[in-house]
Amino acid sequence: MNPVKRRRPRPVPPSSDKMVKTMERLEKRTLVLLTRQLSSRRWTDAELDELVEAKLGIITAFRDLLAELDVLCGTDLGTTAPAQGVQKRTAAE
Amino acid sequence: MSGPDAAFLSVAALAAKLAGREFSARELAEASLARIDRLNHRCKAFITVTAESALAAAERADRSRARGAATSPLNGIPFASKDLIDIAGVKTTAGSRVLADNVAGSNAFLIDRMLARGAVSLGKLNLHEFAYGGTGENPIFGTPVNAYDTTRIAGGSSSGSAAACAFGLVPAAFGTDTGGSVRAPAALNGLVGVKPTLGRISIRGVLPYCWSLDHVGIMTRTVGDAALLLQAVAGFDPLDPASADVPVDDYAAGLGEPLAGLRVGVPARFYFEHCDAEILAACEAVLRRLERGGAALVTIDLPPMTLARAVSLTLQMPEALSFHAPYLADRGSLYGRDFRAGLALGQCLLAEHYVQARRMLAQYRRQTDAVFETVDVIVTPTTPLIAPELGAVRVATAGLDEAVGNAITRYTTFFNLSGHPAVTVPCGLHSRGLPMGVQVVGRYFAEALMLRVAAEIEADDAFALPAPSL
Repeated sequence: MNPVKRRRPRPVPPSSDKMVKTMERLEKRTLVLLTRQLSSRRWTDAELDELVEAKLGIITAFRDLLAELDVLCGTDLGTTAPAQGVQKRTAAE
Repeated sequence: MSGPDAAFLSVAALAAKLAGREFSARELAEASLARIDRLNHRCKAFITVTAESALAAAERADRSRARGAATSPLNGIPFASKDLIDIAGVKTTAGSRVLADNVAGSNAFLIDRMLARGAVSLGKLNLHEFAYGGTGENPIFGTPVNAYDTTRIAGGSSSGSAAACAFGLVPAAFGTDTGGSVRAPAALNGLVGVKPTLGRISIRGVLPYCWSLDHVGIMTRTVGDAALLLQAVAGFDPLDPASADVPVDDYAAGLGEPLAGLRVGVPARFYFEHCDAEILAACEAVLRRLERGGAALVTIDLPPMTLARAVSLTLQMPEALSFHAPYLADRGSLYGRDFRAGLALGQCLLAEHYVQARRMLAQYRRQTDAVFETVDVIVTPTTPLIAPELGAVRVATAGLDEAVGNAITRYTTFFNLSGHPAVTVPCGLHSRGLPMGVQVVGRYFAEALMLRVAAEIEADDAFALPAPSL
């Protein structure tokens, strides 16, 4: 029997809306497990609560940030390497 | 020397009076220390006042002048530094209980430069704990207030630097700027605030917050003073890996020269959106003033800003966590609640997020640099709002509700990512009696031209501010 030849789907970058919709909403228990199982550091309930629902007015809630990070990681930056320092004048000057 | 007029003199004016022997450096230092003694309990600008060493330095400056060896205009000029900047033998607390006993063993690069020119350090200035936050609030050392309305914040994170200058305690102060922490409080307090090109001023001896984005910045009362101080502290430091080995220009030479032929970029999006109407009008007036001076206004497209804050946070928090890890282990309970929450965020980000953010940084820099092929400077409001009230957590500005810290730094953060130099200069007084600022952004290492444009704005009386009533 001939193997069924499946056509490999062409990768289509999803729109940012789709990206966000496919990601499940962050729950506090995820952060509890993540911070306990990947590091020996301990964070308080209040600190993890702040990540889920920011109240201190300083950081964006991690929940919201994750949606933006998902878009960021879905952005095709080609061969762009991570930034280094600035060491020369702008060419146009 | 005494009286409010002397307290609000510029560095250049003080230098002229010192050179003319109208008063000595010691008398100037004594007057400044007396003013700190009188006002610091109100404004909470200083964490540490180094009176004894200041008077000794002032006497050295006087002796140097007496024997004709005082060649720098900074000889005998008082200044102070954000308490992230090391001064040998003095505590660097970073505004935190975590470093309450942290005495610096040596001077930061910029302090060495200032002291070598005979400048007189009066001490260390208050800040948002570890520079984490745009409001400049500090529950440990007290929150620096705005000199124009003490029911409002000075803004941060270099809140003590802004309050020290605005209350007339020093004519110049150093801060750090990772997302706007020099420019924003300078604007909210009617000061000039410079964030030079990334790497232009060495960060050696400055307690890090985020190596990728940290800049040392300068606050003064005038653009000319900012040029003087930048001249003193700019330059290559082989011991700082981020330091730029690029020749230093003469920053004061072009001030006052006409701007005919200058191309001023005006962003089409983001920078004039969700902004206080009076600040918008003041910026429009600045643009018209530049146009009358011979500049051409060019509408530009900067990179999309939608992810800029996410990129910034994604760099900031893991880098901060990396630096603070040993302290977290030893004395984690001494950190403020907000900063610990930020560090927890750093713990939860993925390596992919961090690497992608650094790649985005490279893209932002390339894209922004390309804009400077068509313009010489970019002009925007410095902040979308005037100084918020003490204790405010969220603020609504022209239909946008956001955290106060985010609002304060909304127009400044991107140029820390791109690394371009930027300066804020006052552009008038809001009807609520608070200063407004306009931001001028230049090409990499083109601080001289950027300051020239700022000086042109400053020279117009329409944008001048009265001294605060204290």
